[in-house]
Amino acid sequence: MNIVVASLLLYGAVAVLGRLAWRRHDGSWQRALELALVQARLVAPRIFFAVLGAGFIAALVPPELVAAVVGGDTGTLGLLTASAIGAVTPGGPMLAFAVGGAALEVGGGTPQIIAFVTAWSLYNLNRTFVWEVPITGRAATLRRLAVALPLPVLLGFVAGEVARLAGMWH
Amino acid sequence: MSDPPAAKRRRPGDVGLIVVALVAVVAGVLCYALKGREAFFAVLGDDLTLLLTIAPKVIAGVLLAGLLTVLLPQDKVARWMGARSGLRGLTLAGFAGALLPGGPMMAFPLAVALRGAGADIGTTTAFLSGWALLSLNRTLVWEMSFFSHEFVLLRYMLSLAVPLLLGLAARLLFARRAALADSRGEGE
Repeated sequence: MNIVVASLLLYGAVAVLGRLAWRRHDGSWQRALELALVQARLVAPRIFFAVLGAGFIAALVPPELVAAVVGGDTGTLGLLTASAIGAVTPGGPMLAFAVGGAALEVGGGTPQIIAFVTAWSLYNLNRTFVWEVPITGRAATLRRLAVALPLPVLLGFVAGEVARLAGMWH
Repeated sequence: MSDPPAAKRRRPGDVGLIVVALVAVVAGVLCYALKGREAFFAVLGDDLTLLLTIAPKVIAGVLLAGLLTVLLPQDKVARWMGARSGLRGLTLAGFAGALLPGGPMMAFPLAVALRGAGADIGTTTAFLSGWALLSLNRTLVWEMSFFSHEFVLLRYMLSLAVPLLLGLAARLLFARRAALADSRGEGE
């Protein structure tokens, strides 16, 4: 059901923006299609391998281990561990999200997985070294990392508090 | 400016693809060796089903990304986010980052371009944080494919103010030093 609603929203947005581009009559529509094709060719092989890889990893890693390392009861240490794992997780969003989703299903805690996703988003090392340092320079990268460093643990902590309060209201 | 030369320095993510493929192959071989033939094919079947479910979203996602790229006035973005743009500039930068469709090959060169156009370290930090945490395209296509709506909503809501806060922090920590160097004698 979830996935149906999300798809409807997505295609609704595509229809609205597509109409906008079409009405410009200046080749915007064609350019958008070309860009979409380029991205699709880039993304398709990666999502294929990411889904396969995450599935195999989830099957290999014992759920007890996931629960013990990044489970809901692991507290701040679990948040730190999840952040560190997020920072070293390679690949694009598909692999990171696939791994995070799989971890949630086999015993990971919501705050810990939020810390994982946040750390991966803000400073996964792979992207930092391949893209950020070469393009923006080492000084700018270090400054950005310095302010971003505590965020994953903080957000995970707040997520835990929110979940706890929401649980109390039920 | 819209197409900085730095973007062409590297082919978009050959390294990333190789890493992902390697992870998948190694994990698959390990799964076959450790868990047996049946478990391997069970997982493979589940994965292929998941791929089929994700496919329509990926197609919509790349279409959306292409359309946003064409429709967004990217040359104006830099003008809205000058160094003295205050909190408004930081907020705008965060949202611009969230709306930016595209990977690191797009975001980092744009941050450099913003810097060149007069944006300060706070603005570029807010921009990159907005892109990293709130990217609409990434959340719609990837995150919602793999997580429940509740999880995505919680994470997104919690992250909403983060670009502004990180931008402010960067400004307080790093921009002040530069400003002081510009106007010596005015004291701390």
